[in-house]
Parts: sequence; structure tokens; C-alpha cells
Amino acid sequence: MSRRVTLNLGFQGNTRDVTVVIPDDEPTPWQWGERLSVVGKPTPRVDGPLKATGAAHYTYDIELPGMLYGAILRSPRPHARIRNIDLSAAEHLDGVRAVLALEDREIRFAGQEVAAVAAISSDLAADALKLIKVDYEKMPFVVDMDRAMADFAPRVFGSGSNVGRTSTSSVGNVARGLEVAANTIEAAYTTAVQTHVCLETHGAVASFNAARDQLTVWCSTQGVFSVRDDLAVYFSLPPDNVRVVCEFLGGGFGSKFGATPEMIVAARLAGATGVPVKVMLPRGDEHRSTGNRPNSEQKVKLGVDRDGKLTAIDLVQRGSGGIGGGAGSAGPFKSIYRCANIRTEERNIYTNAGPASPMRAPGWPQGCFALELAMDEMARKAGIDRLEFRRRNSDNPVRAAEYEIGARAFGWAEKNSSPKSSGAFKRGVGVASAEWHAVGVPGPEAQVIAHRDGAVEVRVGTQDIGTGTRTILAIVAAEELGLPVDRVKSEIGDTRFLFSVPSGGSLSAPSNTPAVRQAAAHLKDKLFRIAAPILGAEPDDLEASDGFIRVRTNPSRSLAFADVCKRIPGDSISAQGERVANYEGFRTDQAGCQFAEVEVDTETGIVRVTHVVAVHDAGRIIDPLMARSQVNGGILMGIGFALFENRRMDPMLGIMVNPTMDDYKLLGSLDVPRIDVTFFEVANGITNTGVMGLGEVAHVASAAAVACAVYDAIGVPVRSLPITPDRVLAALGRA
Amino acid sequence: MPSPSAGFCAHLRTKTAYYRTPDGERIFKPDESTACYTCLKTQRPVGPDGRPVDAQSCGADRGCFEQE
Amino acid sequence: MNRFEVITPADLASASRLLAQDGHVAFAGGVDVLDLSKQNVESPTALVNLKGLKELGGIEVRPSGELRLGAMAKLSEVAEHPAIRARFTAIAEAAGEVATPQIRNLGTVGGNILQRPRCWYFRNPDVNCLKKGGDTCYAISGLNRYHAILGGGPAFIVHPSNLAPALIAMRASATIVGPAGERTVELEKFFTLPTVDPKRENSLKSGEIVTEVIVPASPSSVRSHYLEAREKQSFDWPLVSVAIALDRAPGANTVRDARVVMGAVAPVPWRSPEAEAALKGGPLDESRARAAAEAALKDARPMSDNAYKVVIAKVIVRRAIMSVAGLEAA
Repeated sequence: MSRRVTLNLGFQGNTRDVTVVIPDDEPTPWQWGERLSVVGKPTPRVDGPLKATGAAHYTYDIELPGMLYGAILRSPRPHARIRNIDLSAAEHLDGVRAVLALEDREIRFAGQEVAAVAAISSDLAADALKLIKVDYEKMPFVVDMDRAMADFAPRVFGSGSNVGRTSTSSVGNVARGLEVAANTIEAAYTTAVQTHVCLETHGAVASFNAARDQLTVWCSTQGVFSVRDDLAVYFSLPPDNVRVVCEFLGGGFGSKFGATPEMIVAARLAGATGVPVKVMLPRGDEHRSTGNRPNSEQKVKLGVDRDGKLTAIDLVQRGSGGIGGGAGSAGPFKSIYRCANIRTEERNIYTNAGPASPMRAPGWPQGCFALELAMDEMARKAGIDRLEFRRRNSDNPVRAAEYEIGARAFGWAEKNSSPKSSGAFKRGVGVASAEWHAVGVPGPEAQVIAHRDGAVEVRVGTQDIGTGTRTILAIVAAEELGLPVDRVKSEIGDTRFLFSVPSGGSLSAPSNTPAVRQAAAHLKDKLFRIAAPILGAEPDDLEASDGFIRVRTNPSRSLAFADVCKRIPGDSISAQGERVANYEGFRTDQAGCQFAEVEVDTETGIVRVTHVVAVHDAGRIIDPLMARSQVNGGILMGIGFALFENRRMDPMLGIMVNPTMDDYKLLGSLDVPRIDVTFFEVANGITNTGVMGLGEVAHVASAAAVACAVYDAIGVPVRSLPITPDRVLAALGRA
Repeated sequence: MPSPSAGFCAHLRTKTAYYRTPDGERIFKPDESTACYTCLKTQRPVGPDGRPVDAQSCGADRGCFEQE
Repeated sequence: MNRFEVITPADLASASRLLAQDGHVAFAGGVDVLDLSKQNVESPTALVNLKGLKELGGIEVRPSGELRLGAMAKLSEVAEHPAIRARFTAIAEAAGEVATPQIRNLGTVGGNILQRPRCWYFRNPDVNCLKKGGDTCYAISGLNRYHAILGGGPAFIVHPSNLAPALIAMRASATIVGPAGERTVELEKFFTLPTVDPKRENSLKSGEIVTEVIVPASPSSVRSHYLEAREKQSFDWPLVSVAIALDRAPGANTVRDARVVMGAVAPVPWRSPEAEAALKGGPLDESRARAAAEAALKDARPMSDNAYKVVIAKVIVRRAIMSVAGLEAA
């Protein structure tokens, strides 16, 4: 049962009619210019007070009767064979309930799990770890990417070369494109390993029932259902026998997808002891062992013709995901700018370092930095304004509009032409382009419940990675039911609710809001059927708005929403909705651009970011407060990547030297610039809400814009991130 | 290019594999250069056999392979 | 962190007796001692709680003009004290640049000058470096971007105190009470190089407690200033810091006396007689400030990754002199 509807989609000054086929029970997608009552209005985060007062319960706060505390012993060595593990002294320590060997063969990075204990206090667990005797046979190691590629470098995997998989792509003929170019540039760019630094470290509390066939896990995760499924496979249990709960999550950024080692450890210890076990990682383990954004070296060649149009983009890249893969960064090279000849080559290099895991727009901040700084180097060589150079090479009408909005808000024309100042402090500006495709996926189901007292509840098995998921789900349900947002409560973070997908790939909002809207529409139909006879109308003639259900043609005939709920025969009435497949819609991509201004102390090399203007499209914005908060976060993480963050590995010891909040430099409040965010609304019609995700697109261009601004300020490019004082001084020939 | 999970090891994990195609298959993108793989048995990018894991190499020729 | 007990002694003498015992460590603001314990770098068996010992508290500008800082005075109190800001400016500025407001509300004068180095090898429990009784300073062949450019060897840590350079620039002394009674030591001589004992940064003996810091009266002709350069503007350690005190005759542009003390460049707060001499040679202008900065770093011997610190140090010294002298950069 489906129907055909014609939707007016697009953006200001650029709309068109698109005909889509949608299921009969699916609300018609919101179109361009459609005026909504609570969607798009600023709503403060509904769980903000809980977080601000400490009442929100994170995994760390879970305390169960009889609970034990687990701790994990990790290898201090980067590469070793384990000759023997002696657990006996730990097992005999009073208060220790279980000890497990986790690895009995080979260690490949400093920080790898070796053994675990459960004890009646976390202090005792830490004491017990010290009693575990591990006999390591040292093996040669390599933590440096360049050294790992040498002929006689120690091998991370005895079975093969440190040079892992190579990915290549080619469109057109790059050699020819460079040959015909009026101008070419060639330069190498590098980026450092960045760790996720989730403020809540990875961790879990696991509890088995007496029969050991029902497992409940509270954990810090981006995907309660992913963890449930992984645990079910690992412990050979039916998925229904595993319950995973994550009421609040203190950051994930891609590192908390499925069942991670500490969850398995907590569950194994719970199974071994018969009581709940909590394992929360210390900060150092979080830095070393739970994932990171891989480093990169990117050799870039660009060619342009006399009109400033790109004739060739060539990338030869390598990066190290430590003992893992996924270090590519070619994404931006292949799609942000139009060029007939593009070639990319990416190589993953294995090193004896903690494995990479997905991190906020995997590969893109690295790639965007190299591409955009190269674009600026080319613009300077070819004598073109940098913004104009980008306009000429982008055929995306959304981005074209965003460039203009951003340039006006930032004051590009004046700032780009004004002197850099005469003294030691020089100002500079930069612009960089973003791209993402956060249209979401089908899969999630939602339940919306109206209670006798008129209160409404939304239940979805999603989780809030910190972006305000509860808030936007409540807003969407409130919109459909014609209620104020405070009448709706969102319940999430539990596999007892209907299925949802993990919160990653910027797809929580676009995947969950359409399911909620459909469920709310179904509930509204049920309430209309209750109200219709009382109002002497047909259900189809009713509408819900301002807390009332009314006859559309005669709004004075109405019933308060709460009064309709009093007619519910039982205690509540509920309906379900599902996230259907994406419609064709307007565009599936997102553009976006960011402008940055920096001040460089050219005598000390210290860089401060003073102003950032961000212009982003994310389909329909549900809550501008939550959306802006996400963009702020993306920009700040980008500034950290641009100026400060660097996982530093000692080449002789093979260890991370800065696994603390002291030495791993995360930006602080005084490093936060003025930030202005503008949303460019696009009605995309891809789902019934037309929402797109923002988490990643807001982060893609931030570091690039800062690096371009530094180049503008000092007149020489700093081609390595982070742009630390030593690098600025070296670029200026002063150190 | 999304590939069906038929032929992939039941213990191979990567971000996309936590999502499913409209036909209910786990999504693997073997060509994606940013994909990080882990083995659920070790929760690390290394299989029980000590070799790296990814969509190309976790095949039936490995002793630890288990059909989904 | 290991288990320890917290003992609150009734008086200074008992505190001293307790601190003479093995594994007993003084507990003032608790910032660094808890960091070190949590990082498993130090494992005290007992913390001797100094809070409540009257002799250690208070800030006082005496009728003579002398400043007394109790060892337990909070950094935030020092930073905000109007008389310190007016007459001992560098000291207030140095205290105000420490870490974060939260830490300044906990951290004490005594704790700040006695804190252990931030070296990432020293702070790593898996690395048994020279400062912990091992035989190697790993900074020599390892990652040393934040390490010593002056006075290094055999250990190449830098002294982390913000306050110490400012106190030394203002000629402060520490009053120390211990088993052998009370002694007074010029703060400049209190800190010791690794050549004396690589495991220590000062000459405090077992059972001794720094009870106060005395800063002599500062003539109205003295101007002082503290300046530091750091990568992050929030919560970061200085790459280089400097405290300057200049005494000029009223109306004259020549320097009668000068103190130049750098922080974060050497294993101890590093006073530069060379820079001081350069400042005293003639009229104070930008070129003299530059010459003094060059002189301060004349003996710098950077390591593999930290030559940039020499450049920054020269700039910071010059700017601090210019600022305290009221000169504008050309």
C-alpha cells in the first residue's frame, strides 16, 4: 500500500518538485517552506539539568549489590612473546574473586590486555594486578611509520610485511592533467595520531543471572544493540537473553561501536564469579588502547589551467593504524572539488602501536587539511583569491550559497585584504570546504505512548552520544502530536526498547527521527478515532495542534489532547513506527564551509584561533541549540587537531609518552575562539523529517581552515599538524 | 561498494557491519581505506591465528574462519 | 595508587618527626602528591596532613615592607592579594598563571615550589629513569621537546614551578623547620642540580618542612614582572617562563640592579647573572633588552627536539624586560 506524492524540495531560490512513492501509513515528508510549530525552534536540552546537577547516571555511576571491581593488566612492552603468566599470587590475595589470563601468546603494542582480576574493591583489584607475574620474551618492535617501511624493519606480524593494504583509485589521466596545467604544485603534508579522549572512559558493568543464561550489561557505548549482538555471539546466547543499557554516554566519537575488550572482560569476570563486575578504564588505558585517528603523510600534486580550474589532483598517502588498518585519507581528494583527472593511492603501515578505530569523519580531517592547504598554495602561486579558486572548482550549488553566506558573516573581503599587522603578531584568515552524506539508514523502530494523564513517551533503542538525541526525538513527536515539547519524554539507551542502529556516521538523527514521526502519526490516528465520535466528525477531518485535537474545517470544535487521553480504555495507548528506506529526495550530500581567523606570534610561534564562522546544511534543523552545540564541538575538536593533539611514541621504548590529560594537549576554555554558526536549510525529502546528521560534517574542515589561516598569517605553509610553536618557527626559518 | 556478508567470517567486525542492507545483510565495504576491522574473538585487529583481520583476508582459508 | 594513611599531626614538631619516617610524605594542597600516587610514580605509606598547622598559614606584609607567605597560603590568595600585586608584582602574576582556578584554589606556595618535575619519562610508572634510581635519562635519546636547554645533565628535567623564578627574582628565602631546628635558606640556593643528586630537585632533608617564604621589602624603585609562553592558553605548563625585577633610580633610565630568573628551561629555576650584567651596562632600551636576552641564553645547549625553546626564551626574556621597563617594541 503506497501513494505517490509530489514534494517541493530544495533551498532558498532553488527548489523543484520531486515525486516520490511512500507507504500509505507514512507521514508526507516535510517540504520546502513548510512552517512547523516546535521543529526548528530552540529547545534547551531536555536532560541538561540532569547532566548539570550530576543526576544523570553514566556507566561509571552504576553500583549493584555485591558488585566486584575488575581491572586489566596491560603489557608495558610494545612487542613480546609471553613465556609464562603466573596468576597464583593474585588469586591468593584476600578479596580477589577471579583472575583471568587474556593473552598467552604474543603482545604487539604497549597497552595490550594481558590479564584481568575481579576483587571486592578497585584498590584490591589494582593490588592484585601487581602480583601477576608475566615472563615476557622481548621482541624487536617499531613504532615509527617511516622506520616500519624500511627493508629490515622489525615485523609487527611475523606473517607478513609491515606495508599493509594499498587502496588506489583513478579517474581520467593525472599525468596528462599535470602536463597540460598552467601551474602545478607538489608538497607533502603530515598529520599526527589523535586519540578520542572520551571524557567518560570505556567501561561496563556486567551481570549474569544464577543460571548464567541471561546477561545484562550497562556500558558506555554508541550502540546498545551492536553490543547486545556481539555479546550474544561471544557468549553463545540468544540475543533476547542479553540486555544492554546505556542511559547516558560521555562521548564516543567512533570508538565505542560494538563489544570492546573491557566489556568482554567484565562479562567473563561476572560469569566466573556469579556476581556483577564493573570495569572502567583508567585514563592512560583510554589513550593507549581504545583507538585513535591514524597519522598520515600525504604527498599532493595539483595542476590548474589558466582559468584556475583544476586539471589534476594526485595523492600518494600512507598512514599507520598501529596494529590495525583504516589509515586512509583520500575521501576529500576524490569528491570536494571537480576535476577530470584524480588519482589516489593509500597505504596502511603496521606499527607496534595501539590500533586505530573510527573517529569522527574517519580520514576526512586529515585529507581535508592536506587538500585545502595545497589549494591555498596553488591559489597563491596562480594569483587567485582563495575563495574564488574554490568557487571555480566546486559545482555544488549548496556550497556556492554557503560560501557567500560565510564570506559575509566572516567579513572575508576585508579580512583577506587587510594587512597582517606590522609587529610580531600577525593575523591571517583561511577557508575550507566540508562534505558528508549523513542521510541515515532504515532499521530503527519507535514506539510512542500516550498515557491517561496526557503525558507522552517516546521509546527507541537508540542512545545519546551527546548530541541531544532525547531532545530532538521529543521535539519530533511533539510536532506530530501538536503538543508542547515538555509534554513528551524520550526513553532511550536500552535494548528492551525497539531496535535502533548505532550512533555513528552522523546517522542517529536522520535514522531515528523518521521512525518517531511515523509512530507519532500512527498514535495520532488512534487518538483521532477516539475523538472523532465526540466531535461529530470523521477521523480524517481532525488535526492536532496547540495541545488540542480539532476539526480542521471548524477549529472551535475541539478537545484538549489530555481530555482525549482520558477516554483511553486502559492506562495508555501506543503506536509503533518504522524508519523506511530513503526516498530519492533532493540531494544526498552535504556541503558546508568554515572560515577561520588566527593570530600568530611570529617570535614564539604560538598560534591562537580568534574567530570561526561555520556554515552548514543538515537538511531540516530540528533544534538549532542542539545543532549549534554539535558544530561548536566539531570546530573545537578540529582546533585541537590543528594546534595541539599528538599521540607521541618514544621510538626506543615503544611506548606512548603522553597518555595523561596533562601531557596530551586537549584545548581548554581559553583556547576557544568566537564561533558563529549559520545553518543553511535544505528541504531534502529523503525521509519524512528530512533531517541530516551534523556530527562529522562540522568537524571535517575545521583543522584545514586553521592551517590555511596560519599560512595566510605568516606567508609560509606549515605542512604538519599539529601546528606547534617549533614548527611555526621552523617554517619562518627562526629555529 | 557494499558487499553481502555471505562469505565473511561470523566474528569479523567493522563499523559498517553493525548496519544492515535492506535485505538484512551486514554491510562490509572491502574497498574502504578508512575501515577499521576487529575480530570479535580477540576484540583486536588480529585474529586468533595471529594474523591481521580485514574483509579481504578473513576468508575460509584461515583456520579460525567460521561461516556466519 | 597504593593504600596509605593520612595522619594529622597536632603541631609542627610532630609533623617533622612523622616526616622523618620512611614513606611519609607531606600533604598540603594535595595536587601533586595525589597525582604522583595515582600515577604510581610515588607510593607513600602515610600522608602527613599539614592543614591546620598555624605556623604554615597566612600572608602578611609586615611593617618593614617584608612579605611573608605561609607555606600553606593558596596560590589564588597570592595571585589576588592587592599588596603583592602592587609591590611584588611578579609573584602575584606567577601564582595567577598556574594551571586552572580550581588548582590555584587548592595549590599552596610550599607545594608549588616543592612539586616534582613533569617529565613524561619520570611520570611514567613503566619507565625506571635516572630520577627514580635507574641508570638512564630517557630524554637524552628520546622525546625531549619540553626538556632542559640549560643546566641539564645527568638528568634533563626542567623545574616546573611558576612561583620559584618569581620568588628568586624578588630575593626570597625559605624558612625550614626540621629535626635539627630552624634554618633559613635563600631560595636561589635551595634548588639543586641533578649533578648533586639526580633523584632530587632541592636540598630539603628528611623531616624538614618549608614553613614560610620571606620576601624582603621591595623598594618602590623596583618593578617586577612574570611572563610565560605556553602552547595552550588554558591549563598548560610553560614552555618557558621568566621573572624580572629591575631597580632603577627614580627618573633615571639606567638599571641599578636586576634579577633575571627563568623557569622551565633548566632542572632548577635558572638565574642569569649574564643577563643581569647586560642590563646594568647603560641606558635601558630595546637593544639592551635584546642583549640581555641573548646573554641569558648564551650557554643554552638544546637537545634534539627543543632548540625552539631557546628562541622562545630569548623572546620572553626580552618582552618581560621591555614590559617592566615600560618600553614599547619598535
